[in-house]
Amino acid sequence: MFRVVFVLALMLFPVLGQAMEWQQLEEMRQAVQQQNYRGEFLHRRGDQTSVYSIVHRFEDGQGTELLKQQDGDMIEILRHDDKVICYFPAGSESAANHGIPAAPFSQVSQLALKQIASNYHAHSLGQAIVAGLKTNIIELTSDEWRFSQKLWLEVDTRLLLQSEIMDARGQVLEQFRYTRIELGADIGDQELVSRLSDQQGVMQQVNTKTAQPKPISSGLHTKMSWAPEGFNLVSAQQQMNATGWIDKRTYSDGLASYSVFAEMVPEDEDSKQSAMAKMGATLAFMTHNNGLAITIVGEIPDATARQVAKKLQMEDF
Amino acid sequence: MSTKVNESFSAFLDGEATELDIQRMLKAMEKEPSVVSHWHDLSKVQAAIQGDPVLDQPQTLTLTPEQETASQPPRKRWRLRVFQGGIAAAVAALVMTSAGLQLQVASNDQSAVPVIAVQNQTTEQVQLLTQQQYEAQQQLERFLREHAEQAAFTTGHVVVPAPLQWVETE
Repeated sequence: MFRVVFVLALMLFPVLGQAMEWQQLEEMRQAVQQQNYRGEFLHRRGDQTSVYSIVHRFEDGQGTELLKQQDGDMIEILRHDDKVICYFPAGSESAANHGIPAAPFSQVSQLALKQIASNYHAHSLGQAIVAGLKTNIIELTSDEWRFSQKLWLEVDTRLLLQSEIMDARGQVLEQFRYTRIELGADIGDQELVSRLSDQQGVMQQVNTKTAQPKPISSGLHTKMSWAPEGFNLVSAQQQMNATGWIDKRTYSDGLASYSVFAEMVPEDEDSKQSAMAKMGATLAFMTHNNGLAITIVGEIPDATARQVAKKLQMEDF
Repeated sequence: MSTKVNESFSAFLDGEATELDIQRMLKAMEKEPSVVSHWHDLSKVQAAIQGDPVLDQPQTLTLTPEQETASQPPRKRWRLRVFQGGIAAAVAALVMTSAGLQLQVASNDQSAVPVIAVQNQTTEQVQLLTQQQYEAQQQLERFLREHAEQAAFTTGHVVVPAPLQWVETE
């Protein structure tokens, strides 16, 4: 009996041993959303770098945040609870075609810790100083279907001060890092007003965060016969555009996700061609297979995207 | 028309246009088709500044049936065309053909001075090709945006727009 318990304990040890790291992940999410801070962070993808200033206040159970792009289009984003106002200076309107900038873990309402723990191994890599503050370094590694990540969490608040996404060779694909941060700051209302809000020629875009619709279980024209182990379907919907329907699915393993867009192509448009583009850890893979034009976008390695594309086919009606 | 668009076109003429410049030019062309003739003028100015003789000769470009067939942009595979050399080639084709810049070398001239000949012909084929590429680019941007926003809510991935780096076409 004792031997059985001992063997079970040994089997559970890796997960139990990482409990502290998983706990820190949830504390990190809460810190990002519920601490008061102001600072400046840098985001790097390959040789592309962007700098943003951020002011974040949490008061009466609601978060308010002003994010200002310090280069490029110089757009500003004001988030208050579920409302987002994006200000585009004159000449930068095309930036509205892109996603609204957001700091890591600032938008996620709950981390799927159990799922993350079953897909990744957490290792503590000691401590380091980032932006003048002491941090705990946590490394999350997994299999060949996904990238590894490193997180630098401030020791007291667990605020994320740096993160990196790495490929199988250890090459950093994407890096987020605070260059300056002031924690526990006293933030006045004036700091949370966009300087663009009363300027002429500035375009405003207002969005409200809505609940994610549940994946539809029928009505899609395609079926997916495979997903990398640990990736679950989180969204499935059908969209219509000028050329017809598009099936859209999103899969997530808790820390990484990919979306599959598929539309039927007439036989005379079918092709064996494929193409790939990257933006840091985000990949866009476009190919034709089984009479479908398939686009895969996600934070996954090339091989994962190719394998996913192979396994998509038309639904038999 | 914004100064930024003109700066993008200038960068394009210098061979230094980024993906952002190209996208800005395409947007400007969609919003204001007459911008092409303005760029036409700008390109002449640039040619003159560089010391190239400028010959502005409106011509009617008539294609033979064979040329027409060869230059007809196929409907096929336009979804992938956005990846294939990208938008830059499309804009290059449009500007070279519809604004009508042609670099010619006068072979019978001993000094072989490069001459910029200008044609005012806009071909429907090039417009169609550009339109298809533009639509494909727009669709890809929409896919990227939808994924980025979903990922921010699902996994907490950062949203920081950046230009795509084309790594492969097969």
